[in-house]
Amino acid sequence: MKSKTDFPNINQKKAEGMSPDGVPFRVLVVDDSMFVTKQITQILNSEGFEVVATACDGGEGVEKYKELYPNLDLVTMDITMPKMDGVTALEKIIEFDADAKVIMISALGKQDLVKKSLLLGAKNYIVKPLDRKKVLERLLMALK
Amino acid sequence: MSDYLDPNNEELLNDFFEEAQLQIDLLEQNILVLEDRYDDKDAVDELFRAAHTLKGAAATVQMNELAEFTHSLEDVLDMVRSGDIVVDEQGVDVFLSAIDIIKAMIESREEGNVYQDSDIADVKKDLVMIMKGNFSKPATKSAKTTQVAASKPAKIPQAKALPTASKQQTRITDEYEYLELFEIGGKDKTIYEIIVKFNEDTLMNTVGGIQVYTILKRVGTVLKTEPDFEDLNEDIFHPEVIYYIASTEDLDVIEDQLDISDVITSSEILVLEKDGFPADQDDGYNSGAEVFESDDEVEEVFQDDDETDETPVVAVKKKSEPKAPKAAKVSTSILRVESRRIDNLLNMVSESVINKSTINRISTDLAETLAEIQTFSSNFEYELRSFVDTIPDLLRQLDGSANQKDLLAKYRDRFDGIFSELHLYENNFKKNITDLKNTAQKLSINTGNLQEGIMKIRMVPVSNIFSRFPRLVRDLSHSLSKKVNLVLEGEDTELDKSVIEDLLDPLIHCVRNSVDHGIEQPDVRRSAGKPDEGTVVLKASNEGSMIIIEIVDDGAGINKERVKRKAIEKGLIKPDVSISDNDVYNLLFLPGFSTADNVTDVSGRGVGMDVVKTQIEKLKGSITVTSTEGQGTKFSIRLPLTLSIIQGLLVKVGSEIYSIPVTNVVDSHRVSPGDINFVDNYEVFNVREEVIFVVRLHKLFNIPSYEESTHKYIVIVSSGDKKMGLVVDALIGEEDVVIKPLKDDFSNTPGIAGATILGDGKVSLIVDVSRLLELGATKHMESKREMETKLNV
Repeated sequence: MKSKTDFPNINQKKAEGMSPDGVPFRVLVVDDSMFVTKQITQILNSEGFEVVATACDGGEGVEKYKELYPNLDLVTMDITMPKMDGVTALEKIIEFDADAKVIMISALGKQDLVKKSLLLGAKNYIVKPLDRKKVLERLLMALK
Repeated sequence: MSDYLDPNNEELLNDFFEEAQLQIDLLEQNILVLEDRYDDKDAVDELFRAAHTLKGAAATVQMNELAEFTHSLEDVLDMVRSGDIVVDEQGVDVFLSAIDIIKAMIESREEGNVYQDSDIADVKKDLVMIMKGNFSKPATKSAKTTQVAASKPAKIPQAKALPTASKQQTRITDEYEYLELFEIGGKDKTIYEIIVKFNEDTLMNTVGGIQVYTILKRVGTVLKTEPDFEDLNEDIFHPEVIYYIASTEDLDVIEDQLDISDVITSSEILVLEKDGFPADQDDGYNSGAEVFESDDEVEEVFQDDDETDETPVVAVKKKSEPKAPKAAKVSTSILRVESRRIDNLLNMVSESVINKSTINRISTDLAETLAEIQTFSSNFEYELRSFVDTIPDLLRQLDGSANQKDLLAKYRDRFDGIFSELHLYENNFKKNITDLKNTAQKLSINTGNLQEGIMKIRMVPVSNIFSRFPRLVRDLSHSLSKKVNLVLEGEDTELDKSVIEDLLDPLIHCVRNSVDHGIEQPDVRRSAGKPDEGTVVLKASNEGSMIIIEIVDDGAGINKERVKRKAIEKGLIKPDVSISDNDVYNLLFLPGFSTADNVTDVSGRGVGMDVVKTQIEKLKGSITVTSTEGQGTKFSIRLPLTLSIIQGLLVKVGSEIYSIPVTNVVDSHRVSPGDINFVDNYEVFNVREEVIFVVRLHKLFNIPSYEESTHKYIVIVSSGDKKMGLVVDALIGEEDVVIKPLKDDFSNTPGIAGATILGDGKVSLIVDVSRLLELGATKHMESKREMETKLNV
């Protein structure tokens, strides 16, 4: 029987969702679409991130952020949501924690809102439909 | 597209269909709101959001036809939102037909096909018409045109940037401007010139300028951009932007920050020296061939883009060729459950775990006691044997006139220990039995709660189906040119999911009936002194373990005479028979009955109410109708909360045990044979001046009833408004029974609804009361007819 060392180290690639000391990055996903939430969670979990909470509108997102703070590293925030939209929620989060790392999730055609969010302090943005590679790339960029 | 999104990822697909349905419902509801108030802003916002969400989700599961279609819908909605166009009645119609197309698209996807129909083109044309018809401003709002606009003016800044400086040389041509940078930048900071080239192929390519701006703002002060900030904020793609910043950071740090590979194709950072303004700027303007070359490259890129990038959605389409249609329809029976309910269940489960451990303890206790008893019994056996062995000796001793008292004391001592041991065991048993009883009690409460909790999981509010009716009534009243106001009540009432799914069709039928036959034309209503607008109320409520759904209209009501005439015409009743009002209404539920003189496409083909009735009865429910002529009609549907568990009355027939659903049981009587009389060759029974037709279950099911006891029991059962007595040997009691459907050969046994397994493992058949009543009634009718013909002969 072959021992483990005989195999090339496919699995030794470090999961990207972990900080250098091996602790998973903690993410709050705010999206009104259960479907998108699930998708993001799938992507993140596959890379070792930990989705610590989800919220389905801006207000809930802000609340959860305050609740979890400072035990979270990243927020993904949908722009169009009922009750409180993502841009307003972003504003509130930044107001509460100026260093908050918020990534906006936007559908095509929302350039103006994405720009507004970036100017308000969002760290990056992702355009729907979500693409695994892009999502990871942009999240990690914000964590750098 | 992306590697993790396997098109066969069924879980995700199911989620998508589920969510799509939600969004469609939202769309429909809000369009109807819009119909009442064309300027309802909240409704428009909701509409826009729903269309938007749907588009995003569709694109993700590569349903491009839907994504594209919702995209154009979104465009129009966006214009409505910004007040550029106003929705009118025609607009609402177009929106509704657009939703129908979306529904059809989803449906065909669920079946594994791709929707292909020319309707799309028509509706799309209508959508565009809306845009143009009432539209005054140029169509820059639509994303489609934005895309075009984005790629064309983009060339202009490129032309401006044409005098590209050779590397390491600033682009600033004005010395004053150059020096001004140092002025505002501050003395102790380095001034950088950063030239960023953007990738046009990224989604949302117009955002990059601002993104870089915000990144640079983090490392220093942005002094100036070229093109300037206002332009960056416009929705225009700039292939190249120059930023001037003042920062205390090193060049490396800035370079590092700018690593956003998919947005930027290249970036170049220059450190500007205060006195480093190049003297001969003119060179920059004529750096010749190199410049044109690069321009050509840009041209090429644009041409490429013109082909592929008409709209973002089309671009996506290219990547995914239509797949071979999947054969099986993706099942979408997903239940959304409030997490609170599951938490509750968890609580109960943990309780039952505690119960389990109690029982475990009792069983170990009992096992110990048993072991002790075993040792005890072998001890006892030994003692007894040795005692028996000593008997001859004992007799001899007694003969020898030994002291009896001494002997007695000796043996008492010997057996006392054994007796006290026995007492100990008795106490042990007593304690264990009390514990066991307590636990059993707890367990029964616990399982009761669990059962209820699990049933609650399957409960969904009727609003799930009620929400479809506003649209239905709207369309219907339009096509019949009637005015109908639909009122929904009790939408929070909950019903088992399986019941609710099968309830939709019958309900649709009833509501259609009310709108079509019940509500009159406005002029007729006016002359009857009623408001023009008719009202149809769809109402759900709880009544014990039953759900009542009522469809009430304030229309013309049922013309009893006409119903009777029709029934006579069709030979359903005899002309000279007088029948009660209730029976008249029940005629409506007979197959082939319709009073509508003209068959419309809405209702009146006579395939209606009888189907409704059978469907409701399949759900173990009943439907009744009452009406007042000139004032309206009311259909009442009574349904059990759930189908899988019922309360059953267990009765004994011969050696068999049958379950009768308690909901059907009216009361029960202990009778002696003399109480059952014969009328017309039928056994009947008098209860409170009512004569009830009686059936002996053992005769019906061919069971030898050997217990010819003096007393029997009659269980009076009812369904709808029919009653009948069932003669059984004994009543056992009420119990919750879980219905197991009978399979295959037995499924059609008339009078049996299913089977259940009793606590002792025996199988008990469940009596199907409504079917039995029907059987009884038809038998009754048949033999009556026979009798009549005999008499006539």
